[in-house]
Amino acid sequence: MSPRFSPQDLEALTALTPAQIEGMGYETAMARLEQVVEALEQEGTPLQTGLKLYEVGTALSRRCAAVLDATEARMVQLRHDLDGRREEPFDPEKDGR
Amino acid sequence: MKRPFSAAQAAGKILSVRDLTARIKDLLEGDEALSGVWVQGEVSNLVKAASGHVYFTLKDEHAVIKAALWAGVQRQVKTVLKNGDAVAVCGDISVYAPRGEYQIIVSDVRPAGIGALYEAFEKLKKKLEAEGLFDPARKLPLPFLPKGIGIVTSPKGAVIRDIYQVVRRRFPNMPLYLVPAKVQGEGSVAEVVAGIQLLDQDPRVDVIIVARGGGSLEDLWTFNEEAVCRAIAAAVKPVVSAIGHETDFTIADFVADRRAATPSQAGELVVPVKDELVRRIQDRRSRLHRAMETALALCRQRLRKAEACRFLQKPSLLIAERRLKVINLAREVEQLAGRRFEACRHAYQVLAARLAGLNPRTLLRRGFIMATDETGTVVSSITRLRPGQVLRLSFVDGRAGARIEEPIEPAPAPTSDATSQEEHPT
Repeated sequence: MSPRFSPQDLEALTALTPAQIEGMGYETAMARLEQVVEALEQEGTPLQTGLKLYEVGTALSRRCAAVLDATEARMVQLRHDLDGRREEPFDPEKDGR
Repeated sequence: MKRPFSAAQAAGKILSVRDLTARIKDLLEGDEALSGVWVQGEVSNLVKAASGHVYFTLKDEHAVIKAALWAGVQRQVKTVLKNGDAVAVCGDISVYAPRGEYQIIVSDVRPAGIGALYEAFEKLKKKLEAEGLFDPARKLPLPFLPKGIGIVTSPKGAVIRDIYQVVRRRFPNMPLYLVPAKVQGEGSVAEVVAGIQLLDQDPRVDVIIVARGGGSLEDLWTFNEEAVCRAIAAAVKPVVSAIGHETDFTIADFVADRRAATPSQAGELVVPVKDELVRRIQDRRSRLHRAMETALALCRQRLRKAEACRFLQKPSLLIAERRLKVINLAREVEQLAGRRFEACRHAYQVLAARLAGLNPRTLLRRGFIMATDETGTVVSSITRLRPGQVLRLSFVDGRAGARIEEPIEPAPAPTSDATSQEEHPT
């Protein structure tokens, strides 16, 4: 079986800069992270590349977690806004004039 | 047409009076056109029986017909009959066999003049229908939830109260805009038309209800007027008609986008129940929350799965594996080198032993003697010997002279030792 990642693929993965990673959405970062994991587990990946993959992988993983945390926080906020407003317009005492 | 008696008798076709009357009864009572028919005339010979039934004759200049108004129907009929009244009655034609009479069994009575109204009703209905004003394709759908509801009706009475209560119960803060209008009598047509037009232009209104309580045909007549019907048809906003009782139909009902059987039903048609909407919104909202939470959970799960990679968890594995490999390789190298050394040593020992075996001194020690001639050449063959020749014999510990005696005999077979001694003279 030929390896899934060619040297060029590995090169592209390890070339991701922290700035690029910080600009990624969840889907992109996640897809890259999964590739990094696969590349790390691939037989025959050079040590130096492995180290770079590890570095990029941890950055991507941090990015994913950060996006998810932010999304969850936003969701909680929105839910709070929605639930907080719910009672007011439907109060028969106020609206049933 | 006259049929011969004898022929009729022979064919058995002479009817009894009873059969003939039954035949007539079937004909008259089975005729759709004579069922529920309206007929107009003057009341005469009115008799009110003790049972409550009323019998009278309806006549005009040319004909009379007997009529019966049963007590049960009599109580529901609003018009009180008396001799000389011009009336229109509705009923079915019935044959009373014992007297050989036919009569109309009255189900409804209206004062005369009503006939003209019915005619006008039918005429306008046909006209507007021909214009396509009743066409279902023209009907505007009612808004799901109007901004406001316009109502054209009398400001007094049960109608506006019913609509108000129903709407308020269903949707408490729904704005209602009432254009008070006369709904019967003089000026009512103009007021109803103006009301419809006013509400049709009011941007706060999304749907219009034209309503009136129950009443006689004349009471409801305003809503059979062409101007009112055309105003309803012309409205760009949907119009709901709620005129009279469920059984009353006006032409306005046909033209309206929706007919409500009662004013209360009109209220139900134009607004949804707010509590239900709220429940639906809340239901959707909780589904929204659940969907979002699920999506987020899936994302987290995907991330956890990727992060579980052993190299990310323990990057030292990247080095450890390689280190192990290095150690293994080093061990292998060591073993290979050791084996090679042993092989060399062995080869050396074999050679050294062999070398020792070939040393002439060793041979001398074991009892062999080396013979040389006078020139110092080693003598290894009898071919170079002559009787009386003097040789020098070398022993391990010294030399001695020797003389060859006869006989000189060749050995039966030469040994390989002799040749090897010749090759290694020292």
